[in-house]
Amino acid sequence: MSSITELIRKEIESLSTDATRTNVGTITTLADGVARVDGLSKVMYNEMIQFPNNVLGIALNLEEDSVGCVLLGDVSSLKEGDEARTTGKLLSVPVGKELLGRVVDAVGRPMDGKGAINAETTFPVERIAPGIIPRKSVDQPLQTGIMAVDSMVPIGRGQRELIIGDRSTGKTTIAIDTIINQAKINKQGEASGDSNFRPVFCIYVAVGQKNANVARTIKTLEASGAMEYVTIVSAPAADNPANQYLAPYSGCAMGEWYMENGMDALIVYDDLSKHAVAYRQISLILKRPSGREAYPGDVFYLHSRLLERSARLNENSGNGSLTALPIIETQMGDVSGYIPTNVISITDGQIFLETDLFNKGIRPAVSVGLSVSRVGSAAQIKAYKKVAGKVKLELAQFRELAAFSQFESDLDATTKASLDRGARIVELFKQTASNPITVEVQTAIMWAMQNNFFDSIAVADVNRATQSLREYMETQGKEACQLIYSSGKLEEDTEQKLRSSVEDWKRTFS
Amino acid sequence: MSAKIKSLVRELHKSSFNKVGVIEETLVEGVLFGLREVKPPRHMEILKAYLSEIRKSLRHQLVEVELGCLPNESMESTLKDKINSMASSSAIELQVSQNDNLIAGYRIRLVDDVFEDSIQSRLSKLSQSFTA
Repeated sequence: MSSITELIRKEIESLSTDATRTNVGTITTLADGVARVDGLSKVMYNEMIQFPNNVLGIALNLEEDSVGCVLLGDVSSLKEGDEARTTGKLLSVPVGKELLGRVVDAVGRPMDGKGAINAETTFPVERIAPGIIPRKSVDQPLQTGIMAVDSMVPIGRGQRELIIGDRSTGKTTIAIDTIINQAKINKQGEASGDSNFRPVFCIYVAVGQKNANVARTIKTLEASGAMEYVTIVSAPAADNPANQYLAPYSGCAMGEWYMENGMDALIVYDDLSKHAVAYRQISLILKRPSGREAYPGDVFYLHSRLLERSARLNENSGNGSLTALPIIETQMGDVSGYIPTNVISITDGQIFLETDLFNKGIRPAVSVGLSVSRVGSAAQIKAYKKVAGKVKLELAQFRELAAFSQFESDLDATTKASLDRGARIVELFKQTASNPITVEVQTAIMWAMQNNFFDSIAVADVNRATQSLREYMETQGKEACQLIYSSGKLEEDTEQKLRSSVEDWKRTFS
Repeated sequence: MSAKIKSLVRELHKSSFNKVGVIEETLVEGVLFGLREVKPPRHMEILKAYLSEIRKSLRHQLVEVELGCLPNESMESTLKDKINSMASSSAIELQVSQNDNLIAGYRIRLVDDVFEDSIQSRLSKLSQSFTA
């Protein structure tokens, strides 16, 4: 029987006409944004499927007798019996600098009412991560502008650093501040006219968030003048799970364009917990076997294949990088949950935010013990490395001693000094949102702390003193800061200038 | 659907074909009668799966030809002759119909493949090139 149909097929193909050949199928069931299609015998995995009324779908389940497609558009216009056609294309999104300053949906369509995006290039949403050969180890810093992060858990270009914590602990704030700081550095670098300056372009992927939250983020970025370096990919909670599942991959494809063209990019996935939930929803509707917490068996692969696409490429491959800051929301501080442990094992470190610290007013609420960066000081400039080398240890010792000192009334001098130093560092690291500090000013503040300039200031006044020193260094102490910025080192003459600036400040501070 | 039901449906489907590989109405009736007599558990599920398999097979035996104009007798017989001239074409049924939406041209559906050259398909290609 099949030989007969094959015979007719060949006969038709041999005729020289403008006839088109398409592989078709029929919708048999339609539920929750997923269509089961009978037919489509030549469909490829992840291929775009064309449904009536310009609705697109993606073939995700290729089964013996049917194909499971997730639908990306308005499904209300579709019905059982409608025809579905293969397109021969994988889902692609527009990429390039044309997307900067724009807000797009999961398939790269504009959502901001600023007109069409005239991008010349498109990249497939699903791509294979760079292999071993084109990669290079991470050694260039990516400054977040947050002292607690830059000093204790430094991030490098091409690194994957997880931001993890309970709800309302400041996870998004850290990511947004990092983006704002990149814009600040980009503007400073472009103004300096340095030909070797490498700007960092940012992509913020909002998955399953409230539209109000996304709008607030856009407003914050616009207010700080960072939007011109940012692309926002939004798949809000009201969007169908297929779009929420696709958004991180689309954002990653946009970031990869910068990386492959020798530029640096930063991508924030906010957040991957909701992404896993959207994927679980799709998988359950597709009737894939469920495992732990009803997640499908390939939920690890879902995130590993996404985060592996962030890399630092070597000179032969263009020297570009894509840094990823995935966000994971924990429940009651439990980092041993299924999705958190998966993502912790994939990433190169994590910034853990504690609810208790947040409620005590220590913001950013970075937990010293649980936060780590596997890249370490390789992603710090030499000057900063010199002044921030011991701070994590000092703070960790302080937290431990502080817990024990609650029961002890009589403390020895060394313990008292450690507690004193720790309390001052805690105050020093307190920083308000959308207020990033440049690396040279951070170096100056840390240097002042290491050289005991804060010791005579009451603990309660340390934060005010930090603000004051910051303002002083940005204005009168500019010369020392400029030396740190240009050389990246803390040489003897730089240290001399720094000392005189800090001493001047100390005299004026009351 | 359980593996047991799947294998049963496969057997029922096999027994609906005659010696030349064509689904025969009498054989299908026999299968349905047998099921009615035995009344197996999950009767409805088995019947639905059987229907789906039969539908699929019938699709393989059918060539749907849609034409933009009303097909005249000679056109239809030429098409039928062409199909009949092919080896063991007894398993293939030709269905010729008119589809005004095509405006002019043809559309042939062979199982999952659609071969089309019509004004409608050209207009839709043109429209896609403008909106892409």
